[in-house]
Amino acid sequence: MPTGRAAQPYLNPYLAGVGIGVVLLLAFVIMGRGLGASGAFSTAVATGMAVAAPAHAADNAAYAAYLPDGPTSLFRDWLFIEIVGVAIGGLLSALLAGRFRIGVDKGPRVTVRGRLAYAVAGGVLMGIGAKLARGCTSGQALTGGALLSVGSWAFVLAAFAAGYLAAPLVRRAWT
Amino acid sequence: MAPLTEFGYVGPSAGLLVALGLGLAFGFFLERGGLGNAVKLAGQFYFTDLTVFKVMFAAIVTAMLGLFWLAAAGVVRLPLVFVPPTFVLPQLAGGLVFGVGFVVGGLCPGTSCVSASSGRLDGIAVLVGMVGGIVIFNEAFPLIEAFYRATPLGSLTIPQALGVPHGVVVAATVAAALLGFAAAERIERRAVAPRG
Amino acid sequence: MTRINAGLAGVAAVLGGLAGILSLAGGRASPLDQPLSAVVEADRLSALELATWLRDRKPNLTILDVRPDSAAFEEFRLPRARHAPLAELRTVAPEPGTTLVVYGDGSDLAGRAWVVLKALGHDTIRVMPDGVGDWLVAILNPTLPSDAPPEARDAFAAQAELSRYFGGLPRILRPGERTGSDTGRAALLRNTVRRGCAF
Repeated sequence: MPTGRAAQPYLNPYLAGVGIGVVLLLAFVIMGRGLGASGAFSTAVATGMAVAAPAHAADNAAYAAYLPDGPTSLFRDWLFIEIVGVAIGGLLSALLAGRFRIGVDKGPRVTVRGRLAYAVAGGVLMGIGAKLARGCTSGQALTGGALLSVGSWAFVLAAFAAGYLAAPLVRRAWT
Repeated sequence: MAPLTEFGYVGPSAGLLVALGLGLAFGFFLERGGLGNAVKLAGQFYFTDLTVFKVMFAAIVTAMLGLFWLAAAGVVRLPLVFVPPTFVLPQLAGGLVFGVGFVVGGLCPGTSCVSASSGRLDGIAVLVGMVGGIVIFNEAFPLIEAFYRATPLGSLTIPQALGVPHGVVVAATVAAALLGFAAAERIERRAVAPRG
Repeated sequence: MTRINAGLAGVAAVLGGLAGILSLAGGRASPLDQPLSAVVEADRLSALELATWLRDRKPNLTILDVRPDSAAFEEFRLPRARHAPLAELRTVAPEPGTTLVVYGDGSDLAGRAWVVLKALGHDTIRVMPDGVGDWLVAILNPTLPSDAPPEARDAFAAQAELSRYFGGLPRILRPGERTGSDTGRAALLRNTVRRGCAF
């Protein structure tokens, strides 16, 4: 088992979960919508493409969908601001707990380079999967899950199933 | 009366402040629970560390129960809360692809932000990969658009689909989650049991 | 099991169990049992019905345009409509005996306005779910296929008369022509606005 350094122990996972659940509930009560993550990246990518290659972005239905009134400022997009908050919140917690560390989390048998390669590959797959499913663990599993949405639960079950099925193939990366 | 935005109590600018605040709390609790650490997250799929399951379903149950009771008390008007629409096939397919990516990368979009802001380079790598995946999807969109828009069912909840009352589904979900938590505790204890 | 975990589990079990009991015993359907569209179904109003009410000068009628953009409202609105974006509905005082009619842009906006207004104490609210598009198509640019049966032609005659009352252009399609070919929203809007039909 990996031993911590001077870092504090993690919070009881059920309490962390309840904390996140309260945040999600506040989103429902205040904004009438849930949380999200992948959507913020979709908007950022579309905005980037609109700046780099505007004709192409306008031409492509997938990019255009995230730019309804032209490349509006990213800083007025709800999900983008939320994701900025997520990053800051994570940083604050890590600093307070003595868990901030420049480095790489990886299994004992894989090299740093290997781990980073797996990370990029995993990210590519999740980017595609999240676009297909209209969300990720935050937008579909947490939000849609709490709202008992049929498609969201289908997404969660499929994701966990696929994760377990693929796990033996990448055991080398983690154990 | 809630949702506050629907009744005009919170406008667009206030909404963005709310986004920042909620995001801060979300990221904070994710890191507190250790979900900014890819090794801990991946442990889910090797039955050594079931934190992901515990945090995720504790959050789902909390928000689900809170919403039910606030609606029952007349505080929240449930039809005004946006339920993400269902697209059966693309969401199933997306889930499968996402799940593979999750165990390969060890982090999901939200937790990779937390990992990155905790200083982890692998968190940044997952984010880079995700941007790449989104670009690939968008560029290939003309070819997959038909599948992407297939099997739309609109905003559809399990109570509506099964014709079962909302509260009954809530109760069943809580029961399943509690059983799942008990099983998770047992599985984890066995994982750290000393081997000969 | 630690005391915290036991406590959390206990609270969840109680709240979950009571939720099940409340749903089974309470009888009244929870809104999560039905989608928004079903919630407003009984109070649906078509553009034709509204047009008839307006022509017959139905009393105590208030028409609310709940679209957020005032520019869109200035560009085109229904006759006698008042602009009341969703976020400002709190300021519409309920008046007993008044029939409210809400329309939006064809999205779920009008349905949401119905829920908000009901919560604010209004009793009689009718919803035009297809919004301005419904009015544009049914009243200002109604069409009849050239091969329509006699009953359809009779119904269309009444609709055409109503249409002309509001300055619309009813017409019978040429053989083989289908609606939708040039009745795109934007085209309809341009034709309508150009003729100065913003009552």
